[in-house]
Amino acid sequence: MTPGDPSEPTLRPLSIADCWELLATVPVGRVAVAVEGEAPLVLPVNHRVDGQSIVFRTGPGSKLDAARTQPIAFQADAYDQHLHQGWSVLVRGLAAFETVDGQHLEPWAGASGRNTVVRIWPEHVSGRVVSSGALVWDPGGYL
Amino acid sequence: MTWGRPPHLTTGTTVAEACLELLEGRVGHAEVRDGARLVGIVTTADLARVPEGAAEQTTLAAVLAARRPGAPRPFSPTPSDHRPYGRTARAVDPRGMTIDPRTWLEILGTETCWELLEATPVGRLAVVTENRPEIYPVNYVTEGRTVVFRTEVGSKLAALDGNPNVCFEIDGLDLADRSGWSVLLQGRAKTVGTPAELKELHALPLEFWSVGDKPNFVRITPTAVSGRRIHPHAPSA
Repeated sequence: MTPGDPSEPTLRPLSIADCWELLATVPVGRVAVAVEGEAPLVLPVNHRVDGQSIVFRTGPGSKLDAARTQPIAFQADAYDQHLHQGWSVLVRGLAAFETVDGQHLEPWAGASGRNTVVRIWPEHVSGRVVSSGALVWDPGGYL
Repeated sequence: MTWGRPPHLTTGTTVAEACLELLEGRVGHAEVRDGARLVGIVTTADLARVPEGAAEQTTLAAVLAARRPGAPRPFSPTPSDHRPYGRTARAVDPRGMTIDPRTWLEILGTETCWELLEATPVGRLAVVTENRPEIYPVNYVTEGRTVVFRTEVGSKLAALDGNPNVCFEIDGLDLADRSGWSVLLQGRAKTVGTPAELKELHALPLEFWSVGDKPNFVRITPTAVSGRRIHPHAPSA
């Protein structure tokens, strides 16, 4: 592979608008919260984009309660492992805990008792896309 | 078959044939199609649940049907396998999988977790810098019971120097029946330093997709590995 080769992988940042658009194309993302002296807590969640915030459902007494007082991160991505193309978006922000008010959100694991909505208000949104040559994959078609 | 590519099988494929396909392709799951239509995804965990003697006769259609809520469950543990577990009775199968019959939440055994880790090319690394968590996707490989990835000198690595406690996550979603799985690996990350180790790591089939030189190898040694698969317990509304 030589410089300028069209098959050379490229990495480029995504605009904030693209980040929000892509976040809405996948059903599952992951949240992370720091745990003092231990590995961070990571949970996959079924999320939705609501305006300029991310919402997902959780149950009472969740391990995510740590996010009531600490920063939270949300990440979603999609990739094609054969074309070596993909994107990833990271949202860092603060979580607000709300009670379900009829919003239609699929919880990751069953609905029973999961009547708390966590809303992530972003402080920082960034994303990047990796592609070899022309981007041909369908962002909504994976994961 | 392309390495790492989930094979497309038909509903009439037998479990024995599917096991061979997954072994040859070194992947953890296969897409099951009826003509061009994707009707489900079977994983090694699904196939492992079929008794060995029945693998030649059981089709993938039967494997998928057995996963549906309310379906007769020919491969589920027999009542004699039920035993009290905590405050609720759970079914425990001999391979170490635990299935809660109410939510169809399946706790994946350690072996299944590692099978999924071996079959997945991209994971997400969660690191914490000054109490702020960040998550990045990484191309990785497993080596022994560790996870190895490459990184350039940058924020990911800087965070690891300050706080080596990391969480590594992979997940997958079966869009056909809304079941999903995830594996979490908590551990400590360390940049690999010795020349002998580096030589070994350069020989690993670790590909990376993004640009730039990624001279550093980082190894995560796990302190805990856990996984779960969530089966939909009610039909879609």
